[in-house]
This record gives sequence, C-alpha cells and structure tokens, in this order.
Amino acid sequence: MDVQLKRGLLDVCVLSAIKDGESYGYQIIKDLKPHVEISESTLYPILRRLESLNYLTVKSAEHNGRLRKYYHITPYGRARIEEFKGDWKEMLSVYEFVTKGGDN
Amino acid sequence: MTKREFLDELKFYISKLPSEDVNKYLEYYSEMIEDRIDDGMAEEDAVKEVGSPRIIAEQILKDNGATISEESYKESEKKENKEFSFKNLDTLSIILIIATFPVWIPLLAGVFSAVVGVLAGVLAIIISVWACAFAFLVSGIAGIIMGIISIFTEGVGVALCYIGAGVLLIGLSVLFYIGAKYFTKLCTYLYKKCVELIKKRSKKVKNKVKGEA
Repeated sequence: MDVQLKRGLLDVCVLSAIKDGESYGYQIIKDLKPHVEISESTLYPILRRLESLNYLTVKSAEHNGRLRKYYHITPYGRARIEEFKGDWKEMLSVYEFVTKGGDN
Repeated sequence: MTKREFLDELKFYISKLPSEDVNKYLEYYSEMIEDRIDDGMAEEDAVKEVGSPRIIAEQILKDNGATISEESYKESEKKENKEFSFKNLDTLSIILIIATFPVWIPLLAGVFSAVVGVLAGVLAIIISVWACAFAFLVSGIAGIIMGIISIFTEGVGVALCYIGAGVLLIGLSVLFYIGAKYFTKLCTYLYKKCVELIKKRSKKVKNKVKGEA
C-alpha cells in the first residue's frame, strides 16, 4: 500500500481507538490488532504527530506504582475522523468508477 | 533478554539523539514492556514480543532522519561478544577484577615478559649477525696481512693458504653483511607495522571513549 495513504489510515485508526475514552499504548495496539497490525515503533511517531496536530493530548497517570501515558482525543481529532469518513465516500465513488471502467 | 538489557541496548543505539528524546523513547518502550508483563507475560517474552532493540533503533533513527553508523554497529557487536570495555563494568565485575588479581597480575606479567623476550631475542639475532659479518671481515683482513708477512717467514705455500683463507673470510663477511642488511630491514618493517597496528587500535578505543563521554 502507498506509504502516504497507509500513514493517513493509521492516524485515523489510532484516533478511533481512543474515541470512546482514553487509552494507553499497549491497549491501542491490542485494540487495533484484529484490524491492522501495528508495531510499537510504528505507533510512536503516529502518537507524536497526532499530539503535535492537537488531535490528541497526553497525560501521565500512575498505574501499578509506575507512570503510564494516557491518550485523550480532542475535538480536532474527532473532526479528523469525520473528515476521513467524507474522504472515504469520495474514494469509494472513484473506486466504483475505476472498477466499472475496468470491466468494459 | 531482560527489560533492563533491552533498554540499555536501545539507549546505546539511539544515544546520538537529544537526551530528552532518548528518555521519551526509553519511557515509551519501558511502558510497553511493563504493560505486557501486567498482562501476564513473562519479562523475557514481553521483551521478545516488543522486538529487537537494534531494529527498533534503526526505525527510530530513520524517523529522526539519522542512521546507525557502521562504527556503532561494530562496537555493539563487540559488546555482544562480551569484549572487554570499561563501559560494561559494573560493581560486581570491578570486585571480581580486584579479587582475582593473584591470577591476572602473573598473567599480565607473563604476556609482558613474553613480548619483551621476543623483542630482545630478535634484537640479539640482528646484533649477532652484524657481529659475525664484522668478525669475518676483520679476520679476513688479518688472514691476508698474515699471508703477506708469511711470504717472507714461512714460504709461498703457507702464505697462499693464509691469503686464501683471508679472501674466503672476507667473502663470508660480505654474505653476512647482505644477510644482516635485509634481516634488519625486515625486522624494522615488521616492528613499524606492529606499532602502527597498536596505535590504530588504541586510537579507536580513545575515539570510542570520547564518543561515549
């Protein structure tokens, strides 16, 4: 898959994984696993990027006597998911056009 | 591999990044391992699942527009081979080194005296070959002089014997001279090469220490 496209998809996947409530790194990886395999080293830059774009915020909280980072989605992040849905509808219509054209 | 070892190795590979970033990465991967352990995984398995520190470091450096240099690869391989390096020393090793000095001091002395012995031996050979050349030359000249003198005292036969022996000795001295010259050249060449090699090695070690500082 195109790198640019995949990156955009993964951004939205990570945002979706925290849209119903805060989550942490390992939980995000586990939640995405059935749909998309994502490694720690792939997740890290995505989290940083989403943070710098204000799509999510990070908060450290204590867990089992150590600090764990929790990620919260922001309204900008939610807007990004909606935007993605719109883009995808457009993509689908293009897809239909392309596959129809292929049949002729 | 334990979590500690994983983080140490990762830290080593990405140490050229700003220390703030390094700490963030270490916190992140530490959390990932801890969360797997909380999930009921054994420490070893948790580390294994997260992956190899080297491959992760490669990705991290790529994300930051850097790469692992050849040198740090080689050095880490050395580390993996448990080669001697002061950086790897922990308290236990220091205690062990001090406690085992009755073993390693004689060993060190042995290696040192072996090196000195070989050097002295080679030097002795060089000197003796030169001495032989010189001695043959002197005795050859003496033989010829004796021969000239003995023409008058002992007769031509004996004189010819002396002169013949003298010429033979001078010839031998020339042979020894040539041999000594080449042998000396060879030895100085080998010596220089050895010194160069040692210098290169120690330079590398110095650079490494500088790089880590």
